[in-house]
Amino acid sequence: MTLLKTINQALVIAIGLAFAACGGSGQADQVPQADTLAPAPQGPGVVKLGNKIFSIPSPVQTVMLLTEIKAPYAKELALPTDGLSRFATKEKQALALGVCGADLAYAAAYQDEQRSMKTLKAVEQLSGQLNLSNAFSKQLLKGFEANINNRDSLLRFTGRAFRSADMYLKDEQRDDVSALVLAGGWIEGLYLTLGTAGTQVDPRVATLLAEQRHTLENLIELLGQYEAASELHASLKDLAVPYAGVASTYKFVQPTTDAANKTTYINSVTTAEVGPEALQAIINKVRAIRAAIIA
Amino acid sequence: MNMRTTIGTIAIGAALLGGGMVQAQCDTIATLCEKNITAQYIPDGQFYRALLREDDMAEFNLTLFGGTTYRVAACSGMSDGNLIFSVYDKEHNLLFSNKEHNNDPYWDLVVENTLDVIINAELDPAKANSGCAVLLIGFKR
Repeated sequence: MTLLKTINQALVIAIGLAFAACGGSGQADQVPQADTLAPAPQGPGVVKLGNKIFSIPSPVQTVMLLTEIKAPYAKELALPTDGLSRFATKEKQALALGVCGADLAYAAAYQDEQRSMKTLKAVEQLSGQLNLSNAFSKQLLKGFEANINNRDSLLRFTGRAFRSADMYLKDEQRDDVSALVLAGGWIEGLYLTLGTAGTQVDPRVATLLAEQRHTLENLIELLGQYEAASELHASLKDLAVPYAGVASTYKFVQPTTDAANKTTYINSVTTAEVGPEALQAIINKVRAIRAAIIA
Repeated sequence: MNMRTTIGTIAIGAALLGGGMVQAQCDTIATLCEKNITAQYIPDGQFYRALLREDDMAEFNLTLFGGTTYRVAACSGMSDGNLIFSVYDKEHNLLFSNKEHNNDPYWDLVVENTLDVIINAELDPAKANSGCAVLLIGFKR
């Protein structure tokens, strides 16, 4: 009898949970909100998703900077879209997907339509191999094709597609894959930023590289959680060695807010500089890591 | 024994159902929140979420690049204004908090120079006890 009662209670909890999730929009004005969830497993204080919540800069943003400084387009830099089947493991496929995401943004930003379409096909192929086809919805991909002549739309579609994939991966609790996709995109963004120049880079590119120090630290911490990323994690720790040579300054300046336009201007002044020796070491290591990713 | 197995199965089922529902709810909130990242902004390609109780705080670490306008959208629940988000620099100077603006669900940050920031997100205790917090970021140059 007691056991039956316990079963009943378990069922009530399960059904209750189901109703809690299904309810919602109609209860919007009630306090507290209808989306009351099971308490987070962590104790009070800071909650860190997957123990950490980090933002890795979008490679779309990186390639937009390249177009602004009028860096020449070098389509040969992008990963060739044939032979992707050589990426046999999920780790390699996830990194390659990130690489292709950055390449897609690069081709789109420089309005190379042919290359954009080829890279989109590569993204489709890799996402299929990673069982991510559901994330890159047909509608999204069709939208990309329909806007092939519109640079800004393509960049938006790229951002949306990768957000959709990130959401899908996190829902599936494949945070390690999500982190590797981000890492692949970040490295490729840096690689594209370096361009075809040998040892000489535009001073603005040098600054852009120097400004990535905090992101590198975040990425090392993020990837450190996943055994699947151990090789790349070690490589990024090597990259952090020359990054220690980046000299940065920060001076807080009071921000100004335009409440009517929901805008705050962040006026703090910062600098980030890297000396020639450290810069060269960073360039060499970025190229080596990228070569290892696509090997 | 059979009864125990049944109870165990039900309990596991309930837990799985609960976990799946939490995800579904985060996704629904994300879909609602996405409307704040309007067409002028390019999504940053990432989905940030955390499950919060009333005394919890989620901490998001990011670098904001100079010459960029960021649209930060922060949502929890099915209506606006449940989530408080505050942006701090690395010296913990407050750069912005939507608490001073009726918990507005989105705000633009115009960044002149590249800087590292932390965004703290917490539920407004007057409006929610617990829930999924979703943060979305878009940018334009």
